[in-house]
Amino acid sequence: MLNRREFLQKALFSAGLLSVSDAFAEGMVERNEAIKISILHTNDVHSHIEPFSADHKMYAGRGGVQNRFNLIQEVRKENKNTLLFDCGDIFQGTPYFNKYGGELELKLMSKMGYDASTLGNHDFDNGMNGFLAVKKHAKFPFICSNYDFNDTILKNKTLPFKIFNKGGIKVGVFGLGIQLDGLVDKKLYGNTIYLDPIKKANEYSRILRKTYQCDLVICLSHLGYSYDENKVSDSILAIKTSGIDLILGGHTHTFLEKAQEFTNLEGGKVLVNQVGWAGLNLGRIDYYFTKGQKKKVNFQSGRASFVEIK
Amino acid sequence: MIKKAYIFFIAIAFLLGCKPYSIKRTEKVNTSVSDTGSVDSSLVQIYKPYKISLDSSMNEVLNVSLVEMSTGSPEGKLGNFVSDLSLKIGNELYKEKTGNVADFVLLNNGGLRTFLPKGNITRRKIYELMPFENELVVVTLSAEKANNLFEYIAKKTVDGGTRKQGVPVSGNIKVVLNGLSPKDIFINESPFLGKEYKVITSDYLANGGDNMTFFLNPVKYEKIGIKLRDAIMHYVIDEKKAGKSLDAELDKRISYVE
Repeated sequence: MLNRREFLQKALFSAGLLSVSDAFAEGMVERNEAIKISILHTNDVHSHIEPFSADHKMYAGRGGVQNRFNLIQEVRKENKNTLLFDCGDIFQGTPYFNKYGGELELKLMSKMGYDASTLGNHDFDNGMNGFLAVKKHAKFPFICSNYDFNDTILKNKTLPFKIFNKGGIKVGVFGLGIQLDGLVDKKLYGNTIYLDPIKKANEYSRILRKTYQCDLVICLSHLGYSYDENKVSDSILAIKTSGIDLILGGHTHTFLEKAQEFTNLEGGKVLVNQVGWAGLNLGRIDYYFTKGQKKKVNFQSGRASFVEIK
Repeated sequence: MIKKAYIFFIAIAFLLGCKPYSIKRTEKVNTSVSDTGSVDSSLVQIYKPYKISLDSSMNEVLNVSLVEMSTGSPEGKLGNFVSDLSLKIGNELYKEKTGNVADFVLLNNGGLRTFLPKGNITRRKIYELMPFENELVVVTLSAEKANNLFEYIAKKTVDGGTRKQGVPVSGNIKVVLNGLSPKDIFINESPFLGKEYKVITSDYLANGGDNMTFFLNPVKYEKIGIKLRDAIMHYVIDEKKAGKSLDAELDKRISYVE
């Protein structure tokens, strides 16, 4: 049992003074209302800064950072407890990357207020040197939990996990990258060691869940949604782990109409989402939290539809 | 006053900290990003100077294509086009450098990142097609590894499977497939012999990319000294200078047993 002082310190440190009082202020208005956390995300944007050109066969006029930012701002206006993530392959796909090396992509993401990203295989396309050269333009952390960078120049340049406090809710985030061998030229990723994503996922979700008492655990993944062959993917990760609430994915450019539900090792529900590529779609999952139940209440899937904004 | 605040915080901490939060329900919506009609242009302002500088060179029309070219399996016009020009440009440079010529070209469709439209081909299109900094190399393969190469082509070229993309090769080879095995292989009109072959490919693939493990530990690995994108660019510009538009066709360089 903690004494008062320790408890107070723990509460203030873990939740952050501001978010504690914010949540309290909201709680005063409607004590029984749920706390809503909005998770927004993108993946495989591949340097698509401008919308697709008006004569594009499939995506004419769609995407673009300004349109994306406007949508994000609308959600933030509606709910200040919003987090924004990217799941890698920020780089490569338009001449913006060839000419400016990713500087512009990271500047724009910082301006949009991204909270974190993980690394995709194409984020190594200019080598670790190339990534490091532009990393200073990112005002958000890169979270990589299964790449061991200790023997590379990226040592201590990424985080294994991060905890965000939103409205008193602790959101723990870790990140998983894909096996680089055979996918990325060895000279580009050097002595990076790829570690088993399922093992690392179980390890970090346990740390976030148990040690840090997170209310919501999110994995930023660049493993891919699913494969014909027996290769680790988000669909496999979801059922072979426990403690993860949400897997945000990338790599396979999979357009999901909405987040898909899976059952994890302990019978709990885990959502997996991925929003195609090129910044065409913005993923959104709203979590509603209630306080005080001894037993965790399984969420019901609520309203879910695909909204095309003209 | 300070004491009051202290008690107040303890009250908050107890209110919020005693029991964990739990998820009551979720809502899931993926939203299409398109014109939101907003007047905010803060991000456009950030990228505008970059765009102006980039557009001046990227919007230049380098040549005209007579057909739309895209990748395909067992063959696609785009793969055929890029492989054939890689053989031409690659061998010109390789011969100049070493006096030798390579036997054929092998690339991968995953590396061709967009289709080429019928009509104007801008410098931007070439960058979109080949954004990577990969360079052309010549890999000399043992007879055994060359055989593995053709088995790889067969495995990658099953039609109908979603993950089977096909493998682009130059038109001077003919491969007839029977299910998952190569049945007949001709290189420059000669049947495939158990001997060493020189293959032009990208350094990415030569280093085992796209699981092309047959390229690893080769007899010889030589750089040609040109990036694949630059090879494409040179070819497109050279054809224009020669008064020729761009064209590609399907010629059954990889096909199935009838």
